[in-house]
Amino acid sequence: MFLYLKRYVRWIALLIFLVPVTGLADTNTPPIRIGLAAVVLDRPGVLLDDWSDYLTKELNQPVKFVQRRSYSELTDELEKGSLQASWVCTYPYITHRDTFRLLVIPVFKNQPIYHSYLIASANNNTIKDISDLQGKVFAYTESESFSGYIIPRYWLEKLNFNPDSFFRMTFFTWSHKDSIIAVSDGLADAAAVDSYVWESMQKDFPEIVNKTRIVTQSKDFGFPPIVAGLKMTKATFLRLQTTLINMNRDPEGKSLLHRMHLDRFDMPDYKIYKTAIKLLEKTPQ
Amino acid sequence: MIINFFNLSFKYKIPLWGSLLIILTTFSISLVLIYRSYNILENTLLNSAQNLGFTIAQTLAPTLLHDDIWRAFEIVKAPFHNIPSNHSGALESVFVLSIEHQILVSSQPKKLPMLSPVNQFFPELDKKLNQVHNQIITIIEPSSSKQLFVVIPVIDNNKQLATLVLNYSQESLNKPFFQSVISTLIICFIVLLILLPINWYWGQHMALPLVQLAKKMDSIPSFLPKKDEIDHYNYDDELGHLFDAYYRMLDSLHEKELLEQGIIKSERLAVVGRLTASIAHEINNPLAGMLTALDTLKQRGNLDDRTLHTLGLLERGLLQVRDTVAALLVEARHQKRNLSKQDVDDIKNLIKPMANKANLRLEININVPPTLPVPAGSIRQILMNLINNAIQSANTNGLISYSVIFDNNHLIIDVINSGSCISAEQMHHLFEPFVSYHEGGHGLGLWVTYQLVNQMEGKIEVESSDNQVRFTVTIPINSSSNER
Repeated sequence: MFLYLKRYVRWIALLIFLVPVTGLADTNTPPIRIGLAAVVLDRPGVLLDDWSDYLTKELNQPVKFVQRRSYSELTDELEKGSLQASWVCTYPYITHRDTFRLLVIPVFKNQPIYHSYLIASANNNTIKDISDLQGKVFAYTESESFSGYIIPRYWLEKLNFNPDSFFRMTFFTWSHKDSIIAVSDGLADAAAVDSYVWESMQKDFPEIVNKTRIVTQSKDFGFPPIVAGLKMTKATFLRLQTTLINMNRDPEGKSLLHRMHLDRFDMPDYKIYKTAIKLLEKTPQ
Repeated sequence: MIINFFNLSFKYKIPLWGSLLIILTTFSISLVLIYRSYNILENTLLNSAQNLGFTIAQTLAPTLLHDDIWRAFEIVKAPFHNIPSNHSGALESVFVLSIEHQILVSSQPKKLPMLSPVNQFFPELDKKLNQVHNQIITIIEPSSSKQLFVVIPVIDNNKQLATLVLNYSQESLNKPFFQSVISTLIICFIVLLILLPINWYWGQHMALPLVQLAKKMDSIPSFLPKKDEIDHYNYDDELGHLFDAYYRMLDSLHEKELLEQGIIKSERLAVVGRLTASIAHEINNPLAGMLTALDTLKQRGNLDDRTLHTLGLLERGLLQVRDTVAALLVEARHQKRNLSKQDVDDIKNLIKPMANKANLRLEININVPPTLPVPAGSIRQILMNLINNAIQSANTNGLISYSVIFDNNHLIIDVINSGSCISAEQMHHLFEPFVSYHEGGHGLGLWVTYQLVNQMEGKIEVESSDNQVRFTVTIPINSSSNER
């Protein structure tokens, strides 16, 4: 009895919310499932709900965001087709660039680029370079993260250190945010993190970020893009791309971008990933 | 000092004993409460520590299996979530030790960094850890340190992966205990603040009748207190019995005193009576001789005027002496005639014009048989003396009332006048000769009355209250003589 009532209530709730918001949203159309990794947007809370509501309304088609712990899970599902699009890191994009189509590129501080920041405790002034971290505890984000794993290992290799034995201990945090917390709490002596996440957190959680400092930063790399799988229809691809790019043109979309600390989404430009591709070619993985 | 305390008045001793008892009781209850609160605090802490430790250990096992340091860190940090760094809880840190006693992960990595040996921070814990390896959960309380450790092995499939340690500070464990001690002491103080004044009031109230009684009894040999000088104690307890005994004692003492005073007074009057009688007799004999000689001298004649004048002077003086002596010599037994009702009525007729002259109301009540075997002259004189006295003492427009009644073999004469009362000093010498309280009185009326009553074996009583003086004469009538 109670179950029936619950189901009934849920239906009424759906009707109340969807009908006026989505207008003529076709509930029979399968939703566009967009994957996100905790690596960049860790625990975004209602932000994703608001974004999916916005896109559902704009596209007149249900849009659903799906959170996964690692990039490998995202790339697997994207290739299988259970996800139609995904916001991935630069590294998974480059390694899967034959099967992924660039949908849009986020623009942060007016540029579609980001950096890897090597961060250490704000109180520790002895660390001036990655070579000072020998025998220390280092926090990686995850093994497919460009800024949180590939770049620091690249730096060590460039200095002829063996990344596997250079540190006394390493561990994965599975998100840039947690890497920053690990350094700020003193669990790790240093970490390499996405500049976008560090700067966004500096605005949202200054009490955490201010306990860390940037030791060095990488050169410019193309910003982690939103990509579509091969199974997405051309029409959906274009509609989704247009909607995302037009987000900064209406107040609701603008406010969502502001909450993500992004300026806008831009049309894809393959050239911006050249530096990353070049670097990856030098480091055989 | 102690003897001084026991010598104190009950007024202080009862409240002091009560206060001592209240203070002792309050403090012993407080001590029990404090002891209980310490036990409860300790048990609560240990129980919560065991529960927390067990939960953390269960959750930690898979993360340690997969070397997921970050998740392990998040788990050991969880108990401190949302608690500010200067928290007042007793839990100081949570850390995981490898089998080699190295810190794998800790909730405070800055203080207890990863991979550092635990003996660097807690040498006592390191020593004791070896002894508790196989136990499920152990509490280590090193005597030399202010820390308390709850040690739980992290086990996966019967294999110990690591050891979880919850570190509590004794100091912050003591803090809530001291808070409870302080609040208990405050409550204890408030209870004392309420009970002690109540006890003091009650104790003094209890002691008051006893103190009053003791004070009055202390004064008794030198001064006899009156009955109404202390508040009456209304209850029938031991103190009530003591009060009853005290009143009985006072009654008998007063009675004894009155008796003694009466005896002394009547003895004195008897001595005075005997003395005056013997003097009167001694005077009477030569006096009779002198008067006879004077008479003989006058009858011889041939006396000049001057001598005659002197003789007259002498004769009048001697006659005055004879009258006075006669007045002093009261002789009732020599009178033969019995009292008749007519005698009493005669007095009434004699009194009436005197009362009218003095503007006094007169109330008379006479109830006697036609004759009574008592000397008529004595009774007449007693009545006349008392009524005369009453008329002189009564205020103008006052009241004189007298009654002569024969009742139960007694003749009772009652004379009342409305007038100022007789003072205690006057009362003391009232029946002595030549004592007068009226202008012009020779002071023999009451003396004669007293002597007459005494000779008839009767008694005379005086009551003097506000605006009323009452003389009551009671004379026993011998019925055998009546028959005679």
